[in-house]
Amino acid sequence: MSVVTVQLGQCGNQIGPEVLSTVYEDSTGAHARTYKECSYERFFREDAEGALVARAVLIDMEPKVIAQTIAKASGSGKWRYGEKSHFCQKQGSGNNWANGYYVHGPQHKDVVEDLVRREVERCDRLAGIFAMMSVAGGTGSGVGTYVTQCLRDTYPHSFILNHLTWPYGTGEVIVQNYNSVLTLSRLYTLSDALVVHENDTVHKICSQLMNIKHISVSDLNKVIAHQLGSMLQPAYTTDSPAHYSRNPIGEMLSSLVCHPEYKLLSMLNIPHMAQTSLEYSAYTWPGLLKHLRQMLIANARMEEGIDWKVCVPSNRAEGGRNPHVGFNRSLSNLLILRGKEVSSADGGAFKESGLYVPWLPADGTFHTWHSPVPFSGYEKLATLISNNQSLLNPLDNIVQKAWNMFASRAYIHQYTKFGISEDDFLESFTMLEQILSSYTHL
Amino acid sequence: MQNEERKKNIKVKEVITTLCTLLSALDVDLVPPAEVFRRAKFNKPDAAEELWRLLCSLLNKGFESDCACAELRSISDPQLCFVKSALWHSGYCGWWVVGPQACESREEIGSRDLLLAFSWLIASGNLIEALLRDRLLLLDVLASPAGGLPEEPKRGLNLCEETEVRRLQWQYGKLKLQWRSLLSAQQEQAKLTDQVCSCMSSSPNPNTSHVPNLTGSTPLEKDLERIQTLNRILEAYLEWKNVEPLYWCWMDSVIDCYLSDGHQECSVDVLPRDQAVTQCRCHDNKARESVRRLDKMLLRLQSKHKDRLDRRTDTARLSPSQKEEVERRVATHLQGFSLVNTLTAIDKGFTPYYLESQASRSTSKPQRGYSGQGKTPGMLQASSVIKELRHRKEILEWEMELLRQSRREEMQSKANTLEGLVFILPLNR
Repeated sequence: MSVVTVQLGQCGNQIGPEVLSTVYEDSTGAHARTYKECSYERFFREDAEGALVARAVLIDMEPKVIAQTIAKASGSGKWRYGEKSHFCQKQGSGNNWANGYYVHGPQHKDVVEDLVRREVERCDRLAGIFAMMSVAGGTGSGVGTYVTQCLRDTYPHSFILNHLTWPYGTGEVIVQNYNSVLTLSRLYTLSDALVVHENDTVHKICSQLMNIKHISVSDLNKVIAHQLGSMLQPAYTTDSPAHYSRNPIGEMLSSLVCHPEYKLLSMLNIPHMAQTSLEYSAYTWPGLLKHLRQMLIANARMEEGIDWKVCVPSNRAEGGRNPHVGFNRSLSNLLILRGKEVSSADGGAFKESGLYVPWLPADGTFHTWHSPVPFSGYEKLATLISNNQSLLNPLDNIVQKAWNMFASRAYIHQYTKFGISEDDFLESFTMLEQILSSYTHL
Repeated sequence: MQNEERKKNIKVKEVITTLCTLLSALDVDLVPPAEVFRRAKFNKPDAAEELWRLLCSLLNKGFESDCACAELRSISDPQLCFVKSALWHSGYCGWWVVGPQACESREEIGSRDLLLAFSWLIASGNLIEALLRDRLLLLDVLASPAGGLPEEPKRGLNLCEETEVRRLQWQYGKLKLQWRSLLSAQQEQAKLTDQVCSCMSSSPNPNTSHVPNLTGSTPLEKDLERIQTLNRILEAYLEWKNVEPLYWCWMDSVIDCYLSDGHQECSVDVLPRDQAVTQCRCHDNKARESVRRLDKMLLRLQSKHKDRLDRRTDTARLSPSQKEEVERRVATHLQGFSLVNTLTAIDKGFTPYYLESQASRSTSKPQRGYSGQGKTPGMLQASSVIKELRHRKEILEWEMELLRQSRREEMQSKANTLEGLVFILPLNR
């Protein structure tokens, strides 16, 4: 049972190795043999000499980042990337989604498909394909969307999970909102679920919880990798309570994203702290879960600055018509608990029906996974993967900004020259408006 | 083509053997050899016993004898009673199961009757598929996680509500995801089984193999055995599905034999329904209840329908001559009515010519003009007369209004000429 990781563009190729390192360090440090074996099988294979090789494919249109990534992994002496599992070109996509999707993607389709197929064939069982990319740039978003489309065609029955990094609201690239809109609208139909990390949120975690003074991209990536690692590492699940699940992505999807209109997943982790303070911390499960629950319903991205006044509306019908201020309604939640005394932790507070939409069967909304092995030095760690309204605002901002630019036809010619039409843009806007409306009316 | 050719050459015996193999694989006890079936076709008495046992074990597997069967113990032959009621429940109504001749002892039933009942069981419903499913659930570990029937919807009526649709979409999505999980699990299992099998076959001496001590591993062996059994069952089922049409061809010939023997044909239809119902007390109250309800509903609908028909055909009961008489009377009545009241061509002076409808100009005029002589009775419809009358009424009202207006104006002007007189118009006429 293995996950094939596909790293797309600069962002994907920087987060990817962080995730693999996190997973590797966590498994190696754990004093649990089955946990370690299961985790290794998930993300690595062994070469002839017994060294660990990541089940990953690296794709970028520029050689720089890939070269760095490969060199860094081999230099660590712990694991490495496959010798022929990367693909790069000399010329980037110039932050242009259309260039990536309409030009670079189709040009290199065969090579990329071949790379992925070779990795897939090395798995006894493909648990899923995990594609990482940002939505702002050109290669990650454009080529990434195209590659996801090819993968969906080639593996119609496999699970495809996309991890998306959303750009800072203040902007890194002038056309980031165009790229985001185009990527999101396409991926929504192709992918099984989109796990989203917003740079703004991660930045806050770095500055307020990890106390990092000068925050670099690498710091952000470490936080994202930590959260993703806690999601992807072995755990006991509902379907597999006695063995580490052999179908983690499938189980996650079937507990969170069964409805095709709702595919956006966000993550909450508690606690977050600097590595050096880990030793001096003491948490209890009830305390952690109480905070986590409030973070969920008040839509707080961190355990700091939670609005404790927000509460679950008592009357469902009333809540639907006249939404309580700040209440964040969920469709489904998956709680993953790792560390000491997990069996004593009680996630009952997440089962409250008021948290969820009324039309879902009560037993289908909340699931818990657990593992007694502490994750990455955290004695206790709770991860909540949630399909809820929290991404509504950032998504709305992206769509608004993109629309304003589109209304004044800004930079449109840069896109249409690669073959995208204005109708395609409009279609994407419509799609995202539909998603916004679906989540708004939960 | 070759396949077709091959199919033609298959003997009946092979077909029946395939069926027997499948039944044995499905864990049905006491499956007789194919020869017994052939003998049963000709109603040989010696085949009866074996077929009876087969029928019993098949029914025992398919129908769990429920509590109501306990009361049957007082009956002389509870097994016969069970078989009869189970067959009735599955819809089989052979002469020995229901009806006045329903037999009380096993000896009266011929082997061909049993064969027919057996084939009915296979043909109706999905007994074999149900047995197959049970075996699969038992043997296939993968089948269990997705197991458990989906919960029954609590409210059947409001399904079209939007939330219910969403819930349905969610559940459907979940099923699809679970199906994909199972598919990937199945692929993994196939891959691993293949690996184990190839390792075992390539190294006769397990100690030299790099697979660690396979023979010593009992759970693995058990697993392998389980999977092999599973494969055997599935293969048997597949084989049966391939030859099944041939079996039914053969059964046609059995039925032909049965009919040509001039067997007493007992039509169950003529039996009072309740009698049939009381024959079987012990199975599935719910189903019986709903069938009864449906029956009642059907009866009610039928009687209603009949009532309506009766009412409608009241006129139909009249003899043709009477009918003609009635029609003629109605027509003359209408005619007279229309002649007296409707507009003539001259009357229509007020209506501008272009407003007159094309139809009335071309066709209705001559009708109206000459129909008084009874040349076209029945052509005049009551509805058209009414329409015309209404029209006429409107025109008359309009004319009257006009006249009234002009009279008023006249009075007003006259009154104005008279000095010292104040003329107050009446509010209402």
